Amino acid sequence: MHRPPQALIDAQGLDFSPDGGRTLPLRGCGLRVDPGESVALVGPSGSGKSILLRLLAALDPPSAGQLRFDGRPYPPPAAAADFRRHEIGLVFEAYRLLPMLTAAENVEVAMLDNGQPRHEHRKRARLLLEEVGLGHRAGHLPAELSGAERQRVGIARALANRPRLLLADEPTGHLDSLDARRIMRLLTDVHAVSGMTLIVATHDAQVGSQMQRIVRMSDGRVIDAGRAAA
Amino acid sequence: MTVFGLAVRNLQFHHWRYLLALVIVCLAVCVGVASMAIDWHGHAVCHACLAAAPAGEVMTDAIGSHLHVGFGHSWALSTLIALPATLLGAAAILIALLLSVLEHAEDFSVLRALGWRRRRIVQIVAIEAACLAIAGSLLGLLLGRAAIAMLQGDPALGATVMSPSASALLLHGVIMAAAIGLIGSVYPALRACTAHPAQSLET
Ligand SMILES: Nc1ncnc2c1ncn2[C@@H]1O[C@H](COP(=O)(O)OP(=O)(O)OP(=O)(O)O)[C@@H](O)[C@H]1O
Ligand SMILES: [Mg+2]
Repeated sequence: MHRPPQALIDAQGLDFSPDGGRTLPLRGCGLRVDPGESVALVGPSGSGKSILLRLLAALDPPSAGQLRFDGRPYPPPAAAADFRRHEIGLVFEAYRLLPMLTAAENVEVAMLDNGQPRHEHRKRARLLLEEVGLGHRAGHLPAELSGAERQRVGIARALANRPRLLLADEPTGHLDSLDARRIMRLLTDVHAVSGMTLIVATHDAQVGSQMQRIVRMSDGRVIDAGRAAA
Repeated sequence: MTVFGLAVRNLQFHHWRYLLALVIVCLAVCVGVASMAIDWHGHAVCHACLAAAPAGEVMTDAIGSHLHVGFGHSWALSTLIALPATLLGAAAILIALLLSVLEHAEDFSVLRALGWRRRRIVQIVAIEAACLAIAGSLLGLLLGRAAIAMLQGDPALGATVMSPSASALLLHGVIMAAAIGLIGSVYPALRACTAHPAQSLET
């Protein structure tokens, strides 16, 4: 008998309020994502894409509903940081690099407490920067890099601990269309090579079309789970 | 990149701000240490109580306007000077750290989002505070010793300035450094580690 693979993400009936219950931007949201998939989260502004990513990244626990990662419930808040470090890679719209650190150090910083020795951190940071095409910029501060270059560092940082889930919130939101296309190419390449699961929240139809599946959100729930939906 | 490395990078990034705090800590410890050397029981007398002065040795008092000879013990009077100096040093560190912590609230939330534990964030602030308090106090200690030596060389004051032992000075400096570092860092560290990781996703 055919058994579907264990979902990497299994969310059912998620509610979440970022302001202690005054608003409920996520209500009854459900989503299933298989390991290795690439998914675009699209929807109008305010539809809850970022809020959903926030729960998927274990930055906050849902106020109601079920959220599972690889068959297991998401960790309680006390264990969330360790979970994020091991399982989640985050790419931000505004890059969010630390301004006082070089590109290489910005990548290394994500590897603190990952159980590897420091020389491994340095080696891996160099390697990742080369993979994203920034080997020659390793010693530069973010202020000395262009937006696209900063986002490349951001992607390298997200990959530092070989997470199983890579989450990107409007990764091209601050970039012009040429840079946006290059960054999306990098993300899809990384996805193809690494086999990790990729979820990208975006307004941009062009960005969404490069993912294997498009999930549409509206008013805090998924209204169309896309073609791979079971 | 270690926690220590990140703290050092942050100190470098805001070096003017931290240098100013360092100078204030240094001066505060210098004053605190030097206050140990003043011989309160000896010959310095306030003008208001001339009667207490040994004959022929009435002098105006270099420190305060109304310090009574024989009033309290020397440690109490030293503390009277060292305590506000310590608070001043602590305030300097507190302001410098708090400015950075507020300015970098977003960076702390990013670190939390990347999987840094709260404890690690506290450590960054604690290391920065320790660097400032230790370096400032060390410089202050040296400066204080120099000040004592200078005062002893002054014929008008020499008799009222003692020579505290090196270990007594060191103890004084260590206590001041610890107090300055602790008082100056607790609140900034709390502020830093309560940065919410989800803030990193907000625009
Ligand atoms: N911290 C917050 N406090 C209160 N409401 C919030 C907060 N963050 C988000 N919201 C609300 O939640 C809703 C969903 O927000 P979210 O940021 O997830 O939308 P989005 O789909 O990512 O939109 P965009 O495309 O503009 O990024 C919005 O109505 C927003 O106003
Ligand atoms: Mg958003």
